[in-house]
Amino acid sequence: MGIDAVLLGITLALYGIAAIVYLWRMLREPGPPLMVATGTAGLGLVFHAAVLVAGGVRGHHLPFFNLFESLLFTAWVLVAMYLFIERRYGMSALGAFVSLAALGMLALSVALPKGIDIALLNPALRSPWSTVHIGSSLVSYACFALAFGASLAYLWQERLLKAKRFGLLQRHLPPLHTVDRLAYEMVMLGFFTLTVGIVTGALWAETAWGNYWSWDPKETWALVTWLVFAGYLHVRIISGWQGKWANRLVMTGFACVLITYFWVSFFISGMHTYVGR
Amino acid sequence: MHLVVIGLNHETAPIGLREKLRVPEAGLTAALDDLQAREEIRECLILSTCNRTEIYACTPTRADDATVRRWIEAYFGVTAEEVGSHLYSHAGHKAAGHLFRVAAGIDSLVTGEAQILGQVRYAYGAASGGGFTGPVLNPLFQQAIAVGKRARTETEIGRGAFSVSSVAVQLAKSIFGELAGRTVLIVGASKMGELTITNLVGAGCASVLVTNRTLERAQDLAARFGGTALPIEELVPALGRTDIVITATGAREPIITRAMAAAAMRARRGRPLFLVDIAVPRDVAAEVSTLDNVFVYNIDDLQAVVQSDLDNRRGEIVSVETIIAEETAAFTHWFRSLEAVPVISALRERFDGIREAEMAKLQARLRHLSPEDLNAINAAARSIINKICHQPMICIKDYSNSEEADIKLETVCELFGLCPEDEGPERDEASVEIGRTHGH
Repeated sequence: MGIDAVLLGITLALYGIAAIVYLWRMLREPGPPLMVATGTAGLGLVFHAAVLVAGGVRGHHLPFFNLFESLLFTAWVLVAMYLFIERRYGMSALGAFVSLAALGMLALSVALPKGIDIALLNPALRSPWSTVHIGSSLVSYACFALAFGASLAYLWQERLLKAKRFGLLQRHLPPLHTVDRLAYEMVMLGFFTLTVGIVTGALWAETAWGNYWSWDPKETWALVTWLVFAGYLHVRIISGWQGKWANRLVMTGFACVLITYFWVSFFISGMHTYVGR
Repeated sequence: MHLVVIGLNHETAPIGLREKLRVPEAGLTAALDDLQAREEIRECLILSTCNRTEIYACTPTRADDATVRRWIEAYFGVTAEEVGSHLYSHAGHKAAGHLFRVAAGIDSLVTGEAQILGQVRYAYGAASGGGFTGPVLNPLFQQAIAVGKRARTETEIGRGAFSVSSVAVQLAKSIFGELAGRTVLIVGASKMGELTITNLVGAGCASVLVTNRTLERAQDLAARFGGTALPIEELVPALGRTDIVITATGAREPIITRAMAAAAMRARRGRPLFLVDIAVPRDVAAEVSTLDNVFVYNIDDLQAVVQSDLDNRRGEIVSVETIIAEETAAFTHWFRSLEAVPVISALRERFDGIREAEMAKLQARLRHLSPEDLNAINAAARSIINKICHQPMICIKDYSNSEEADIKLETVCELFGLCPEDEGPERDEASVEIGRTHGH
């Protein structure tokens, strides 16, 4: 446990520094070079990966079978995807949001009770579907978090432009078109992985519990989330609808993700409850 | 060596006079040739823009400033009364400080503008290419260009928007990101509108649509940008398929109403529409901006951005002045040490002259000395000179960088009978005289 705690501590510190540097770049001109922010976040990602590998080796399974590990895993995917996007779009405005989100998730994973290890709880529940189900769902959460960040940047920029407040922040927030497209692409990817997660979840449920769908709260909220994003993609692809309201819909969808992931896990008991009572 | 700048700018002279003293790029070498032909001009450079004409020159003495003034009067065909009160002149380190201020953009009409640095670079290139600059102006202008760059990277003097049309481009980029491939529509034909279009096309906008009450004028303008002219009746469908709209008509009533914009937005399905209204009175009804995804800015909004950016840059002047003070001090240190060079070499020449004269006499008188003996005596004499000169040379270098450098260096010259500023027969006479005295 000692080495894990040290690695996790280093990861937290690096994400904390990255968050400060990214924020500094947003609010000051000229800020520190982007290389410093990206380098710190990238190094954090390496230590973060080490935490996951250490956990996986000890547990003999992929590292997302309890709430602690699922948060660690999702945060890692989030940072990794962000760093890829930063490179691809040349856009670092989401860096502060992502490093703060990752920091929050790691802090939460430490603060929360470790919860029940699904894999250890009942070996009979193990199925090849379980890995795909959980992994795919968690990746979709990371995608939706990025889509949320992009839509937040969109709505913020939109508000500043409408209010004619052309300050430093307005100049440092990304262009509307760029974040609109990023939100769209992230929702596409998230929607695909969520669909895979739901389908494999149903297949797993059939082998473990005997029926595909049992209207468990998590299942219901996952379906609501799926429907919201399906609606977004529908109007976006079929009607070419975009702009302010499309981005508000993305934010609504992300609220559903939060409910599915956290609220259902903690406050409603059902078959998906991570935390033992 | 004396360094001087004499010139005028937008603050000291009216436009009419500035135009008279303007040296076009094509005539720059001819003007430099003419100036260099004056006997007192060792090095010279002309910096001429629409807001300033400045002559930088190196002459033997301060009195030669008059030569530069006379040249200005003769070359531009103006009288002393006409230009006298409009010309400013700075000498020595003040001239350097002035040039650094110009290069940093804080002496410009629009504080922090970037063009001036390019113009300084051009003026230096032209003068140094023609061999008009030398040991003083070369390092001075290289340093000035470095100061200009330093000011712009270390402070915010060069940041923000400089014109209404550059604000329009900046806002368009905040909405659309890259402008490549975007369509821009201009309603009405005006100078300002044309300037804005030019900037937008320069930033990548691909197609230009033009509409106007009279179709001929629209066609005229469209032809200039390789665009398409549309009759004014097609305004609403055009709003549906363009991204950026510039309105610049002379109409009394708004051309684009809320209903028209709402109709266009239904076709756009939420795609942002960017409207720049540079007309007075306004062409876009005020209520249009209440529509979602429609961004409307009028001339006052854009001018407010230009003004606030200008205010920000003016706030940076203090930091730029700090850089300039630093650089001017460095230049002054170097420039003053330059003053010591002729004194030191005159001193050495003086002593060497004495040594050579004495050696010649010695050789004539003591014929029995072998060449080896003579060489040994000569070497001893050299060594004595070196040892005597050592301390004075250090002092002269120090004097040149001290307060009252002029007086101290003059004292040294008097003491040893050196006149570094007036070379020629006088010195030869003096050395002969000294030689004779020693001979007796």
